[in-house]
Formats: sequence, C-alpha cells, structure tokens
Amino acid sequence: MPLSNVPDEILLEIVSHLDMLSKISLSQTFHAARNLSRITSLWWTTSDLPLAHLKSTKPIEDYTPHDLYSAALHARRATTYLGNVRLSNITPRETGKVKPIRVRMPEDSYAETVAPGSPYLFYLSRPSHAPSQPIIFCHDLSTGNVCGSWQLSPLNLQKSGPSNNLTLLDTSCLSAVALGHTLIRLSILTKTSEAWSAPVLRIVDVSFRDTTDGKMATFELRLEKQTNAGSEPAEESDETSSRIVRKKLGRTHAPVSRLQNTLQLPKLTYSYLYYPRWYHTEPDVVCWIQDVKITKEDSVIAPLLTVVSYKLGSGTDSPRVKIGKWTCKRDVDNALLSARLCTTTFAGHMSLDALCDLPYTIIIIANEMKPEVHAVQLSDILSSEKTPEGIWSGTASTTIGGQTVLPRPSPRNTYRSQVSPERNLWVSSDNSNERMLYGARITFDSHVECINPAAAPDFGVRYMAERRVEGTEAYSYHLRVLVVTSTRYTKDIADVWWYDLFFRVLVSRSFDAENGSVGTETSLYIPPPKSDSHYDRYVVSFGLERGVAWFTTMGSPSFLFLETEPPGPSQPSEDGDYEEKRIKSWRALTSHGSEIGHVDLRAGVACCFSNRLMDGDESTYMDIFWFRQ
Amino acid sequence: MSITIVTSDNEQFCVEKLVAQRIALIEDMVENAGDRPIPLPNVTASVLRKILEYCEHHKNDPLPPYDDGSRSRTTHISEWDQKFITVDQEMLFEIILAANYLEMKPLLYVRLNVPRVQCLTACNAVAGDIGCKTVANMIKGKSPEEIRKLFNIVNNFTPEEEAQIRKEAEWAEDR
Repeated sequence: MPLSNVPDEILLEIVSHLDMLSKISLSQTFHAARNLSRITSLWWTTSDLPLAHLKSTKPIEDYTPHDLYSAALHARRATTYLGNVRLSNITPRETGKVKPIRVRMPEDSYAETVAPGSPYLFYLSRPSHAPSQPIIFCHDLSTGNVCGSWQLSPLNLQKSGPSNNLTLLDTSCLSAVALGHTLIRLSILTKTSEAWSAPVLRIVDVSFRDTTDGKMATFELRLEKQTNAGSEPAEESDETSSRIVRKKLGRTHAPVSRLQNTLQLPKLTYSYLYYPRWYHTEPDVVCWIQDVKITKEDSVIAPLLTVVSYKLGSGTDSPRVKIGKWTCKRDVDNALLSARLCTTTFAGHMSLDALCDLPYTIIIIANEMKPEVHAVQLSDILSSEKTPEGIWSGTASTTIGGQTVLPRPSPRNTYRSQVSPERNLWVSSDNSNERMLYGARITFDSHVECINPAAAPDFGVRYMAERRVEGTEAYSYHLRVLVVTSTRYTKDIADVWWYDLFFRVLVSRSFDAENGSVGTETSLYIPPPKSDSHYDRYVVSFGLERGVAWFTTMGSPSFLFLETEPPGPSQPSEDGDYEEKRIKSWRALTSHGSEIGHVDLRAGVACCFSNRLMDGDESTYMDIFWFRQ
Repeated sequence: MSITIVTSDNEQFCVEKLVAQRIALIEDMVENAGDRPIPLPNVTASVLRKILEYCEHHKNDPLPPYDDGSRSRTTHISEWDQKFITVDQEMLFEIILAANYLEMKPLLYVRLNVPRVQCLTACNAVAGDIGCKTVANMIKGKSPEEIRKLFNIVNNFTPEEEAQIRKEAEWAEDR
C-alpha cells in the first residue's frame, strides 16, 4: 500500500512526528498530504511564525506558506515576535511557596553545590581555627535543615609522592554528581603550597539511607582510603586512617565507612595559573578550567583545561588516574588584544536539556573583538592509551561571530551560553550597548561552525529545524529565541518574547584541522526588541516547555518563575493580541546584594545567598525558594 | 484464561486474555462473544502474529496516558520496538492499519469515559505509533521526489498546482 492510500488519521499521525521542513517536503508529494499539512500545521498557526506581521484579517488556515514565508522574511528585517506575554504587576499566586526558607550559613561558607536531581545542597565552610580543614555541610533543601556536617582531615602527603611538606592553603572547588538515588559523589579541589599548579583532589562519597519513619534519610559520609596518585596506598586500616571529626549539627548520623581517596596531581609547568573555574564532574571524570599566562612576562592568556579520569581503588588497589591537559593555540595578535578582558567559561553541560549527553566540553574565550569557541571531546581522554596533553589535540576551535562587535570605551562583556538539545551552542554577548547572539553548531565530526549572529540579551534558545540543502553547503534554520525584557522604571512589568528566526547560512568550508578555523558567511542581525530597555537581570535557568526563571539584581531583587499552562506560547486573542494568555507565576523577593546560588527549574527550587545584620553580627543567609509544589 | 481469535484468512489464535486485553477492539468484543471465537475480518494471520508479539512483550507495561495533543512528538523508538518494526514496507503499513482498526490505545480512554472522538485521535499510539514514527523517520530529510519514490506515490498534482507549491516552499529549497 502506498503512503498516499493510508487513511487521513494515520497520515495525520505521521505528519505530527515530522519536523517543519519534512512536512513541507511531504506536502509537495500528493494532494492529501498537502491538505493535511494545512490542517495539521499547528506549527504554522499557533506558535511558529511571527503572526504579528500577518495583519490577521482572515483565518490562519487561509494563509499560504508563501504568505507565511513573506512574514518570516519580514521578520528577518525587523524586530518581530511570536508570542508576547506581558506580566503586569506580578503578584504571587496562592499556590507555590514564595516565602523562602531562610537558613543561617556557618562562618565563612563557600563553594556550594547541588548534584542535579538531588535535594541536598553541599557547601564548604572554613573554620577559623583550622582553615586547612574545611567542613562539609549538607542541607536538605526541602526543610532547610542541616542533615550532616563533617570536617575533612588534614592531608598527609609526606609519606609518598614527590610533594613533601605541602601546606594546604585553600579549598575552593566543590562539585557533586549523583551516582544514584541515595549516593552522591563530591569532588573537592584544594590548593596547596604549590598554588593551583599542583592541587589536591579528594573524592568523597555520601550516601543517604531511608529511615524507618521515612521522613529523613540518614546521612553517611564515606571517605575513600587516603592515598596519593600513582603511589601505593597508605597501609593503615580504615579506622585508623580516618581523621574525620564529626560535628553535631542538626540531624547527623554516624558515618559507617571512613575511606578517603586523595589524588595529588602532578605539577603543571605553566608559570601562572589563575583560579580554577567551572569545576565540573561526572562519576569518574573531573575537569576544571584555569586561565594560564604562558610566561610571567607574556600577557598572552590561554585557557587550560584539566581533565582527570579516575577509577577508585578498592582494598589495596591504588586508584587509576589519567590526567589530560589541554590548552588552546592562540593567535598572539588577537590574544594580546583581548588579554585585558579575557575571560573563559565553560558551556558544556550547562543546558538543562542537554545535561549529561554532550560529549564536548565547550570553552568560550571572550574578548572585545570576537569570542572564540573551543570544543574538547572528553572521550578523548577516556579512550586514549597515553596521557593526552597538548593544544586542543583532536578537537577544534573557531572564532564565532561574522560581525565585529565594536569595542566601547568601557566595555564589560558578559557572555552567557546555552546548549540546545540539538547540540547547538548559543552564546550571548552583552557589552552594555551591543547585544549579540552568536550561534555555533557543534557537530560530531569534531568541529564547531558558526552559523549565525543575531541579537538577544537574556535568552533561551530552542532550535526548531535544520535542513542541509543537498549538494550545497547551505543550511536552512528555524530557530526560536526566548527573550525576557524589563526596564528599571517599570520593573514590575516584564515581557517574554519569542522570536522565530528563519534564516539560511552558506558555510564556506574552510575548516582547517591544523588551525581549527571555520569560515562562514552570515548576515543576520536583529536588533533588541526595545532599544530603551535596560537589561539589568539575567535568565538563570530556562526551559521553553516548562517556563522560565530569572533573577533580578536591580530594583527589587527577585526570582521570577513562570510556568505556562498549557506549555507553549500564547494564543492570539480575537483582536490578534497576545496579551491574554495567563501563565502561572511566582515571584519571590530577595535581598539587595543577594547572589544567586542554585536553580533547578525542573525541581522548581532556587537558592540565593545574602549577608544580613542580625543582633549586631553580619551573617550569611541562604534563602530557599520552592516554586512548585 | 485465553480467548480464540480468527483472522481474515481463517487462522485461529489462542491468546492469553491479559495479552488480548491490550487490544481495545477485542476487549469490547469479548464481553459480547462469550466463549465464541472472535473474528477479525480485517486482519491477516501474519499481521496478527506481529501484533500479538507486540502485545505479549508489552503486556505488563502501564497503559499510555490520554493524549491531549500535548504529548511530545519525538520520533524516538525503543530498541525492542525498533527490532519489532524492522519489516518490509508492506508489512509496516499493514501493522499501522491493523493497529488503527484494532483501536489498541483507546482501551484506557474508554475506561476513563473519554469521548470516542478523542480516542480515535490517539488510536495509533501503540503499535501504530511506532509504525507512524518509523514512517516519519523514513520521510525525514528527503525531497518530495525521494518521498514519492520511496513510498510509490503517484504525483496527482497538475503542473500548475506543482508550480504553485514549489513557489510556496521556495524558502526552504536551495537558492
């Protein structure tokens, strides 16, 4: 039976699974498909086109794709929007907890982290009497209670290994990864007297056991056996090697196992390493990035990515550790220009939707002229026989942005990034006067392509469709960009805009494996929706299907959590206006000077930290907001 | 407990009731048929064998939720389902049609007193859904001509219509 003979309801179902461009192709094959694509083209009618330009004088079904294409073309030349939800005088609804759970933080607490999907927040605190022995605290975010705290033992590295007499100076990096429903692995990076060129990595497993009353899980800290990387493990028994001091805070429970695994990493040869940032971990991979000065005299700064892949030893086995280091080849002239403002950020694993399956670590080097995107495939280190080290070996990098963002007298470029589910990296640049959105498409053949610069300040991106035009190097794209705008003068009014961009990119394939450059031809620029808007907040988490949350630092500092019901953009009202759609919103005021901590949009929880003066003492408090019951 | 099903080519299948209950049409008919065999005049033995293979594998799965149109339209197919649906094109469409006829998904909605019309919109979402996703995957990335060739579709547009359609879709085509 040919496809053209199947009943309409089946064809309808088939069409519903197609992307936009495939629908277009199918609609050109036979009458029924054409008719059905018109009926079923919800992607035409409700959400995917800039209907504001259609002057809705007739039912949407009467518009031809050509009309819609014309509207799309118009959208390319002018600011347009697809959906516009205006939230006036946002007031908290009854539902949802908008009052925070306020928790006083211990003295000098820092480096907090939450394992994705876990309701437990971990942080380090540096006690004044023993600054080199930080305490790990664990908060149950659902109650705000401390459910466990443990003081790390001082590291004893004199027995073996090349680094004798190490003095622990600082512990600043903490990250967590959930190994299961009841097991969380923490990674703690500690600076030694060798500064950040020879840090110590400690791996700590924390397990939670259900109690009989089911209210709270017991908390068990398991420190693996203390040993140095590549050396024989210490021979003490588990009990004697333990130097854990357990403090009675909240509901603590005795740790059952006391093992510690400490990895002394070999010293790097670079002359100066800045503070590590964007510490990141997987169950058996830890990586972080540092800016490195190649020499003390040289102002060239390059990012250095360190990846540690380990397999913990059991019993007398020493842990197997593989360490890879990558830096990137910098164009000296360009690097000199940018050194002053060079900042490096991770982008990989930052998107909610792309969590855990992005094979790359993406590094963005921001500079005044052009941002650079570098991609490193973490699997390189896992599969390589020898220790990988070098200059983006086997990876690629490119300068993105076909347009130069002109430097301003006092530019302060900020870069934010999103990885869409389809592995497209989007980078937003904001230097107070120009706001640009850059796109980079990450492909599996190890290179990065720039596809589009456009404009957007705070944004989320949903990539809708792509089509590579056969026989050419051209791609058609349909991209949805969500933008949140508000002004400092009308801070209680916020607009959520959906842009739909249709554009075509001709990629000139000048990818050079040696130098890692890709030339592209791009031409699209769309100005911000409101030129007089002052963008003083940023989107801290984003999910187009579920809602958007952002955090404001000016005016009334607040979290705003929006959840559309049903999900998706608004429907036009009879007069073609989009403002009727109501969405659930919870706004939570925070304190001036608050710093954002953790936001999990899926779980509906956010934390922020602020300093408050209470009884003459200034203390740090954590406010926990639950946006969804 | 088992029931007997008779296909259009007069083959009889003795089927465990738990398995047969995955098929809404049969569940409806069992109540009226008593101990008599249930005839399926629109389904051949070879197709029913495949359908029952699917039902057997998924007999303990929770029934799919009501589709209010908001379910995500992914084309992901599980590994087992993918193997199950790896058949020639003729069999693929036979399975889709049979799933449509057998109203496999509405089982849940009848119980929830959801109107029949809503059931029908979702009736392909079991075996048929996998079939539709498979067909959708076959269509993706192909030109109209390639789709016609793949599915043996006769072009029933007039030259004028074809020109108009091409113009409308110009933006997605090569320049």
